[in-house]
Amino acid sequence: MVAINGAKAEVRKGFRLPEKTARITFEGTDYDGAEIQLRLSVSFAQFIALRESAQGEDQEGMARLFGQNVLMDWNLEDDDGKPIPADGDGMLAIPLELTNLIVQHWVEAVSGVPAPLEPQSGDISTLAGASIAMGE
Amino acid sequence: MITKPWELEEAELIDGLCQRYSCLPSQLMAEDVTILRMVAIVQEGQPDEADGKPG
Repeated sequence: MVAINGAKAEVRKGFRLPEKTARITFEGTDYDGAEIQLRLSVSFAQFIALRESAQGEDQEGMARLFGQNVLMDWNLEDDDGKPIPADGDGMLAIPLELTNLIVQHWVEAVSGVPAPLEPQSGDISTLAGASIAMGE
Repeated sequence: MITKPWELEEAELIDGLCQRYSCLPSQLMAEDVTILRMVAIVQEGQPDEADGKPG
């Protein structure tokens, strides 16, 4: 809606720009029902730091970085029904398989081609694919 | 099969993006990582070498 030549009024203060986020689910896996809210607007430096931790096999460092910079919220609970905190400690408390699935989904969300476009050979959802695409 | 070390892949990605956008690596590092998604979409629109149609 656009108001043209309307009555002079002050612009309301305090509108916060919405963050780019993604909600991921895991249908067809052992984690069907889990919902995870992730931040998409992270800096390239944070992305590279995450990749370096993962590739350098520093799983703990990667989980903590991810928990601090990317993970926003989730509905995960422990065996006693207590919520697992959605932070670096929580990332370390969940199975490694789920950690890897979460990170994989996030990498696809920030660097993959959105539906309905199909990724082609220059798929950059992996670092290898991206560096190949850059070299073309 | 020989695969590239991840350090090389990473360096090629950063170097490629910096050349593409004529910026310093430090400037790239401050950019939003969803730039990769944009590059992927542009890539989809490139003609296929075989038939000349967009990918």
